[in-house]
Amino acid sequence: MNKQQSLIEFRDFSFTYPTGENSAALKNINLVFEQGTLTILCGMSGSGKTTLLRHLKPELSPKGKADGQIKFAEDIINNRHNSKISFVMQNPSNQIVMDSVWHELAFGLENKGVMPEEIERRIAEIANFFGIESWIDKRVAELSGGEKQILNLASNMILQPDLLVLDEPTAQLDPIARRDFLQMLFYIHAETGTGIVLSEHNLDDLLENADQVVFLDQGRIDFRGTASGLANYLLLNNHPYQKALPVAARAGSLIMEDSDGIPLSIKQGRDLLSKTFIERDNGSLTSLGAEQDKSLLINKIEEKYKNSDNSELRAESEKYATKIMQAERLWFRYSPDDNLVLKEADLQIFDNEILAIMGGNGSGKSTMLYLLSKALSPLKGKVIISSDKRVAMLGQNPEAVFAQDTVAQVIREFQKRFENTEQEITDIIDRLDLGHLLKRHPYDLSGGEKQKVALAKVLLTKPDILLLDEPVKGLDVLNKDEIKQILQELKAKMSLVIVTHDIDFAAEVADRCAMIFNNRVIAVSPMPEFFQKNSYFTTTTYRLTRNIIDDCIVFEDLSEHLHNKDKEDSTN
Amino acid sequence: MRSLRDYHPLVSLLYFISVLTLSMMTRNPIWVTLCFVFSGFYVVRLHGVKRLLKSLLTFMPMLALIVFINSYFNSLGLTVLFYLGEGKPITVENLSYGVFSGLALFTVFLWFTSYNSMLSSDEILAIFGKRLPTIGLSLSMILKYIPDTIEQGTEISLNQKAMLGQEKLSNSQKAKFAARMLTVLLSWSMENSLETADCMLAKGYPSKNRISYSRNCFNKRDLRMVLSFCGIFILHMITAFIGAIKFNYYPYLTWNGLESNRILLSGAICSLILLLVLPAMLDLFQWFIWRRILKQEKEMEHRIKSGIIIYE
Repeated sequence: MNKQQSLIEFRDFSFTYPTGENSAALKNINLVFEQGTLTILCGMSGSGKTTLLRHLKPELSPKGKADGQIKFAEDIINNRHNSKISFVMQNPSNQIVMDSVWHELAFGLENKGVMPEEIERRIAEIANFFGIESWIDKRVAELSGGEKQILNLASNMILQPDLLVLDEPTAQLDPIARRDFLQMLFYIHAETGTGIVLSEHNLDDLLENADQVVFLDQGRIDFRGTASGLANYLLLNNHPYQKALPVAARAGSLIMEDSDGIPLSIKQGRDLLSKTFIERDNGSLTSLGAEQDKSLLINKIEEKYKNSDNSELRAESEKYATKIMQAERLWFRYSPDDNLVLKEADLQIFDNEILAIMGGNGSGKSTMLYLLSKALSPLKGKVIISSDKRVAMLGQNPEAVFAQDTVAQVIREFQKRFENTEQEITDIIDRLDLGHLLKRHPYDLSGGEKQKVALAKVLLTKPDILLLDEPVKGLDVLNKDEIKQILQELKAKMSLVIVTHDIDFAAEVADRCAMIFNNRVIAVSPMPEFFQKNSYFTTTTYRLTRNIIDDCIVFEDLSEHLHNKDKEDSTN
Repeated sequence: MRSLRDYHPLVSLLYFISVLTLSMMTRNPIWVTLCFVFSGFYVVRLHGVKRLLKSLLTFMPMLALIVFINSYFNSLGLTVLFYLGEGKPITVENLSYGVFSGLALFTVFLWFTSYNSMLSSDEILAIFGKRLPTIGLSLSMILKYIPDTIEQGTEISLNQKAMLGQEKLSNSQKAKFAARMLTVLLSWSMENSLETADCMLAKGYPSKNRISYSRNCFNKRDLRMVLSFCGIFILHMITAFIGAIKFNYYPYLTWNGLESNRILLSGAICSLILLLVLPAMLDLFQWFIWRRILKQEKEMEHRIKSGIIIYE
């Protein structure tokens, strides 16, 4: 095999930010990016992913103290301001410069002084390749977040880069938009052979396409190799980051003795599971045929719920828990000319529960929360809240509540209004572990930290019902876990309504789930039932185990099941 | 009017500048009426009758105000109709002056209504972009920021209300809140623009050989169009200002132009009508061409059906 040409090579590279005191952001990086390869860069927040990526693009390299060498191949870079490297960032909207789609596509070419005829041809070409001809005349403001990010990809690809660098490009997208974006990215990779370097928190649907995986830990390269190699490494060392691995890989590690050929996709995982369980247990195989009949399956689930603990839980939540908030037949539209966002939408919220509301993009989930919080008033219908209960809501972007220059000031803004004692404030700061951030500017924090600061602020308004819009959007697994724990603790004191795109997160945290579809709230049901009745809109674990192992909705169910199975096997 | 759109945006810009000049330069009732009728006609063509009636309705009180103010403070004119209050004479002259001034103002408004829907921001950029690239770029960026900022502003205000819940606010608190919202909005969009700046850098922005690309290019057809209506416009200006346009409201309504050369007068009025009717004529031409094509097609169909033409 021909050795591929290396585009960029890091040799013993270290980097320290001016404010970084003595801790380096990158330490002894030795890394090669070859032509046409797809590299995935992973690691926790603050492990130096962005710093490393920005060094791949000289125009964006941060200022600071650098040691070692970065060697760029001759033909991809002429000078510091003209490289054949493109860079896509996280926020879809902020990256767009111009106001119309065609002009945004032309922007990079205009800067390079490309002739108008050539620009025309390249726009036509790229619009065709991306299948975006129909929105070429649109204003940028008319596009959805996912479309904006596709546009960002297109406006970078039009420059015909040799290397495309993407810094968490899908963190702000919903799952469907994420899927479309990644498919487009892999298509580009396959069709054009452009080298790609991608950093991501969520490794699902990614690893199986990677040529090279790099795992960063505190500025060091902790692992470099293949995707299954990374899975092995993290699982064997029981590294906390293993939770970021696809569910199939984590399940595989529980089953397989040696970890070669660990499954990375759902399909591979299902193959492995069914093989294992056919070998081990013929009983579940016989029931497989019957279970394929969907109606029988649902009957079975319902029967099961009549007898199981869950049904008691359900009865409890519906009969004995006190209803503290109710939305009755809500109708809403943003302006007289718009379509209805909600129509006859009903919802009930009980004491000390977590209700997760899911649904597609633009289905009206956020609108529902604004209506419940009474920031918006419905066209028809009403929201009834038990007297003496306070409702507070936190929107999708924590930045919207940051009006001050330090974290401490942000948190204390409404101290007088809500008569917070010093004790209350320190309790919350300690619980959310914000003590070390108090003097920082809120905009300098990471996504997870911003979310926690906003959460502290809203908790100090002493709500009885807390509404959260996408509390884990763009967060890594560890931050997500932390938020999950906090929410579960809060449940003892209040009710929570969470709007989220993250199905797995909803399954881990919620007591009840609901979907907004066709302007109404539908399928309101206890969490396990909600996911078991769905075949497509359901958790990754359930999709992995459906018809093979019963009742595994979150990964803990599966690992428990396998654990018990092992015990049975060893006693037999 | 729609066919004017097929030309380079500069053509429609120049056309609108010339009709605006015509509508504003004189209070001559003939000129004002003609301009008003045609501007109204184009609004109907582009937006429908409803839009025109709506604008008329909203304009009526303003027209009344203009007429009243003019008649009340201006006691010129000799044909007294009646006296208002302490002997303020209301005359035919000051009444009609008020009406035609108001109408001229309304005409300008109507032209802008048509013009707005004719030219998108892209097309305005195409006009400025070539000559003044920095202004073109800034304009485009501002046009992108406006919807973004409105969206963020709405989000911030909703978030404020949603966090603080159902409390009623006093006026001073409301003012405080608005100021606070503005702070949040400013720092948030500042933060976002840092990212935009990075992206501009990443796409090689500060560059010496930057060009301004526009999807429209000015060709010979555009030039012919501009030359023809500029010609009419100049002809009109000459004939009108030699005398035809002269009209005095005070002391009596007198049209001096009528007494001057008849050829000049008819030239001026003809060129005015020609200029105003031009976009409609273009539309009409296109419609004729279109109809001929359709007719031909029908004829062909007929021939095929009746077996005159046979394809083997």
